[in-house]
Amino acid sequence: MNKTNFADRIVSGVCCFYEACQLFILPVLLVIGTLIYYAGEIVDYFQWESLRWSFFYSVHDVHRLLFLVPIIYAGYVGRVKGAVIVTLVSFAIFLPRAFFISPFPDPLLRAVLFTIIAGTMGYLTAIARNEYERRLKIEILLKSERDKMLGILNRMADGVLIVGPDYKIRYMNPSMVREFGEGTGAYCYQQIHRLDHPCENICRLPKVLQGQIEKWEYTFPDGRTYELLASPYVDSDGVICQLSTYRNITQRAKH
Amino acid sequence: MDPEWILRVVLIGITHWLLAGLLLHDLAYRKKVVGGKKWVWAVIIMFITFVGSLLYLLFHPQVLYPEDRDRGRK
Repeated sequence: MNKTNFADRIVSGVCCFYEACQLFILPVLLVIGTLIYYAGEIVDYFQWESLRWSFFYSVHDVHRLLFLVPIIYAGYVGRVKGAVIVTLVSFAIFLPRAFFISPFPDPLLRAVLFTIIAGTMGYLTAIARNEYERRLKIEILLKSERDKMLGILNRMADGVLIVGPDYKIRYMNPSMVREFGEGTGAYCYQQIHRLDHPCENICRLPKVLQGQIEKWEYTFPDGRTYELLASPYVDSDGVICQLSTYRNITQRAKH
Repeated sequence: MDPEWILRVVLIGITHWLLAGLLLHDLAYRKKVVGGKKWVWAVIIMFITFVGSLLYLLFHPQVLYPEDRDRGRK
């Protein structure tokens, strides 16, 4: 067996052991809670005088709080089903004390109230975790879609420009950068037309933002002629922008 | 019968059958069970109040986790 195989087997063995340990976290938490909850009775039964602390014989509202740990943890890892099962199990653990042991007033009522509150907390934890995971999945999906689209734009021979309603350039593809220089974040009228204010005669941004698709040809003062196609585009932040393609037709225009 | 006892029995019954219902549903969809016989576990869950459910959970802790590979029709 070579070294890599041996290392892989050790890693997979450690992972399996860790997964198996994880499975037993909840049962262990419940067992610990139960042992502390019935510690007074256990001490009495085994006659452990050194452990006969008054804490074990007081009202068990504080002791019950220990069960919040497995219930909320179950909500986190096991979601709604896990939270419900562990809440019911916890309540089943409370019942013998509430029915037969507790000398304090309304033991059943206090156990029921705690179970309802703790169960609600576990349920809300599960819902929050579900929502978090749902959003995470959507974010990953959105990012992959955006990456895919940017990949296509980056490989296009035509220039692609995305301009926001504030005239600021949000995106330029490599072809556009080659033609006009890197200008993401700059104002389009400064970067493309070298002007100090929006070019009212040339600019189609207001029309495009209203939903129109515009197509025109424009010759820059240096002689380059472009065929432009501009259409509305909703960016990832929900803002309507102008997506325009610049096709260099200088050669065609000269003929 | 004392009303307090009736309340106790009802509460125990509700809790037991809620828990048993959830675990029986899980049992029905589980591919493998400890011991191999599902009906034995069904009897244990249904007729040994609470202890049966706790035993089932102890032997099948994966019930509590959503990414449970043993679930699905056999």
